[in-house]
Amino acid sequence: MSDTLRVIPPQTPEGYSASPEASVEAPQTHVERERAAVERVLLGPLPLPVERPHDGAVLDVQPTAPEGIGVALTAYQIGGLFEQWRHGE
Amino acid sequence: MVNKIISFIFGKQAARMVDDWRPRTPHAAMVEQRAKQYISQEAAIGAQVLGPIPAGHTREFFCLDRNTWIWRENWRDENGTPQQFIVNYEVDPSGILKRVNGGQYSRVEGAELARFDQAIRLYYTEVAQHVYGRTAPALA
Repeated sequence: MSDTLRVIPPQTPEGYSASPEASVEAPQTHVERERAAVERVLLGPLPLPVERPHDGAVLDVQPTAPEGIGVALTAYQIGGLFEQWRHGE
Repeated sequence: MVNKIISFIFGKQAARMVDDWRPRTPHAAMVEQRAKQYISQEAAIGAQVLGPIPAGHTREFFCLDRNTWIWRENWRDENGTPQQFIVNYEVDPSGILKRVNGGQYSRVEGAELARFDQAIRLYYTEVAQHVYGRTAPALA
């Protein structure tokens, strides 16, 4: 790729990029490292386990289930029963 | 299959309209008619589970199918103009999605989600008993 066509990674106001290329650059502070780790978790496949940036501790992070899933299952189950009953089953 | 394609392209409402026009055997038509009567009875009970109904309002709350719950409310404003809102609650694998008067979808969360959960559970036990004469089976 020609240098003139090289895409400049988008920069956040804090000065580091959310692009995979720039994420290799070492953030300068603990806060920035934490933020970069959170962005990797939110924007990409969840890496399990995760190494905590500021002290290297390995965390067994699990994705948090949205609170509505249980309610959706209940609503779906109730709806299924009513559909059967309405048709005399 | 055709119905699924219509639903995908034009939405659920269009698919239901086409479904309504589809010729049916007399028995199937009778079953459909009976199902609509059941939904109407359910909606009357459902109106009571969402709390007090403001004076002059008419309310329906019912389970349309396993993926859709409807809250419809009608009233007249101070000028006598008819007003209405319709809230569609869509059951999605990721949770409950809400759409008011055909607008944008938003996710139901927090206290609103808890109230919706309470409302559908109460609806379930009340409708099972008073419309279908059944004791509501325990939910998994």
